[in-house]
Amino acid sequence: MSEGEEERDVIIAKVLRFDPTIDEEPHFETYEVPKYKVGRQTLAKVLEYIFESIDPSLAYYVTCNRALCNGCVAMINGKAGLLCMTETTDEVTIEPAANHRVIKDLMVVPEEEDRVQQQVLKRSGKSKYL
Amino acid sequence: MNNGDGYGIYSTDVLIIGVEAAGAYAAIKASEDEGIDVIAITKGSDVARAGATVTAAHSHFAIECQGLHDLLDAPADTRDSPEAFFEDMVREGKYVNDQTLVESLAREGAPRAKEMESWGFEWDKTAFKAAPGHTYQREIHGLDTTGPQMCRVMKRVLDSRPNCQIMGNMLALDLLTSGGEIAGAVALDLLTGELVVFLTQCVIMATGGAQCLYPYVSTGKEMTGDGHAMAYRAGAEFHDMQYIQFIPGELVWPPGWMVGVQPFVMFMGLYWWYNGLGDRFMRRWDPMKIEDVTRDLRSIGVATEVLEGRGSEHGGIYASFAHLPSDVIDYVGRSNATGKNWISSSGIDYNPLVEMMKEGTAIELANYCHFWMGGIKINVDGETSIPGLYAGGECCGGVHGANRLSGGALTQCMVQGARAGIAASAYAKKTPKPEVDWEQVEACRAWVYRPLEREGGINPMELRDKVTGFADSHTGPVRDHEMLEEAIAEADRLKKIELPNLYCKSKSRAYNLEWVQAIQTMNTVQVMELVAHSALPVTNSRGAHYRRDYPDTDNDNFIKSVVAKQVDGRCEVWFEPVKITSMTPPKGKRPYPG
Ligand SMILES: Cc1cc2nc3c(=O)[nH]c(=O)nc-3n(C[C@H](O)[C@H](O)[C@H](O)COP(=O)(O)OP(=O)(O)OC[C@H]3O[C@@H](n4cnc5c(N)ncnc54)[C@H](O)[C@@H]3O)c2cc1C
Ligand code: FES
Repeated sequence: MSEGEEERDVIIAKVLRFDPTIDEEPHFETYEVPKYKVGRQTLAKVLEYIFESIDPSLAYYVTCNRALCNGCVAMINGKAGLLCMTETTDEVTIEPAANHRVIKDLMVVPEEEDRVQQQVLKRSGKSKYL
Repeated sequence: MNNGDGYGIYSTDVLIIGVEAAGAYAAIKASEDEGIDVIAITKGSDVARAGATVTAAHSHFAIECQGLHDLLDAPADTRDSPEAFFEDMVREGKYVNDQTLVESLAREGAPRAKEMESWGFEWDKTAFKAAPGHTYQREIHGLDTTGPQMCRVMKRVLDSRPNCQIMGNMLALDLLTSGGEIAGAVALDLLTGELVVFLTQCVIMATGGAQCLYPYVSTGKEMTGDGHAMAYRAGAEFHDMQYIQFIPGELVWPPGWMVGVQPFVMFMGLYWWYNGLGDRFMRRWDPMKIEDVTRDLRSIGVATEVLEGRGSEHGGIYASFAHLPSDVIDYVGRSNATGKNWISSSGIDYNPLVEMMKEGTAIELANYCHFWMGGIKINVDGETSIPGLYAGGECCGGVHGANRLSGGALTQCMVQGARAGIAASAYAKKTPKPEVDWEQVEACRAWVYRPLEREGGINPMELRDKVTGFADSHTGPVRDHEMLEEAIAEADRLKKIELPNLYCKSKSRAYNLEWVQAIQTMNTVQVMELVAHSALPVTNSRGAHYRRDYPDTDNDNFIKSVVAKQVDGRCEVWFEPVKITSMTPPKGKRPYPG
């Protein structure tokens, strides 16, 4: 394959976007990601490319990049999976993990951990505003 | 004054920033006294969701074997002792370690390992690894995993403590002081974008390294030296910030391969390296061992070729496997001695890459930043130069000297985390909470919110790339006077001209990663300033610090510690004698590596 062809090749990524502070309803955005930029990489890289080069308002969670922290769990083509361990395909749909509260886009808080997010102090039972 | 927003306010006796190997250990120790309230915050969404510890999965603790034998009941080599471990660390640290810190690390690793076991950590007591620089086989790992297991075990302990609260998605921004003592800290609740003020007399910094000052890293991309920058702005002293560990293992060509597991590390010493002139350049550094030398020398060899214009096409060096029979490549990749089959186990099919290697095509590798030997200056109890500020783990300097032995970092985290937790808890008990100066909080709000409020300016990701690229070419493993002077001038210019102009296109406050990037980039620039100022007066080459204008290791003039601190907005640097307890450094001047 010549360089030129490679540059025209794109991955079509459909991402469910939702910023509860602004949007009424979640909606899909479709992004075209040049394959030569992310190559034979993972969806974590695809999202990084979208965030850094197309839309900096995208929220997602990737850190260890090697299936150790479970922070990047999401629905990938309708099935739960890790973004950092799923190889890119020509077309992909990414939605936030199920049974989680959506903070923004793909950034979620597990329901069982919401205790932490409400930041209620264990001992005093006091919430954030003392 | 505060844009109509309130602050979230918490009051606690001890605030811990960073909750992985060092911070979680500190939290457990600090909360042992039920009368002490502890809050431990992380910018990750939870424990084990950020930081280096969780990525150190197949990693090792270095613990002297006598202790492993006596306390952990492990069949380890009893010729070893805390004294032998101490000597290895000081010799390989090139004699600039703080020996009081090394003594505690060497002695207390085993009791801490035993303590972790009592919390449920499972050690693999059948396999001890030998690593370069260690006289005995004293590297031990966890069953299943090492770093992630450690985080999970400690989180369980903390969850059961009524006086300890873990808070995720909290990005610490600045320390608050009153009369030179700790009075609190300000953080950003990443989920809402609102400022949170912690009222506390005591903070333990456990924020890990500052790998992301450089373009390639072995950690996640959140290791931006926030803790260093916060402590620096608050006036804390730093220790030997010039010593940073790099490893030439980042695949820069062919593109498009995620090499999170860095499989090429396992080919280290097996492949042959060539520069852009086709020369096997490592022969110039060691004609006998060639590529099979220690990590600091490898990274310095590679950095020299790149800096002097003899690098590979894409900014690294060529690593060739052409001399290896193809079945050997297959064997090393598929069933190497560690039993990890990276070709098929890492989620990515590496076979096409391996085929390429077998056909004789070289890959291109560059240095990635792996570990920070330098950091916040502490004493053996984790006290810093600011009363009420304690620190432990990778964000601290001194214990590894100019070069870290493998396995020493995780042991450092247990030992220093525990000591900082104990000392901080005692300090908190006897010290009343100082009044917070709300002007400091407002000053913090001003710099933090500025990128969000601006309507135009500099893109945080573009500036990050500029800073990391500059840091790589000026404060990487190889330095000289001119490069360091330029780095100091560039940090100054960035602080005056570019950082104030950072701007976020995305204005939503909830989980705004562009905003986080802007804040982190401001921090990395301060770390670059510290590194450049600390490296400039050290006119000899030692361990991970190679001065191409001063290529000798000078033991007559440079067995010294570099201390740096911000005074009136400027970085001041001075030398202090190295703290020596029992091991006398050698004399004389020799060509690097000494
Ligand atoms: C791939 C890899 C392999 C390694 N292998 C080994 C090995 O075999 N043996 C060994 O001894 N060492 C090894 N190391 C090094 C060792 O893992 C680290 O030095 C150690 O884990 C550091 O622990 P820490 O607790 O100091 O910091 P980290 O684990 O890095 O944790 C830092 C914490 O600080 C938090 N933080 C940072 N900034 C902020 C902020 N602004 N606000 C709130 N929270 C913040 C982070 O969220 C995180 O919780 C390895 C490192 C890597 C990356
Ligand atoms: S980023 Fe940690 S599991 Fe994917």
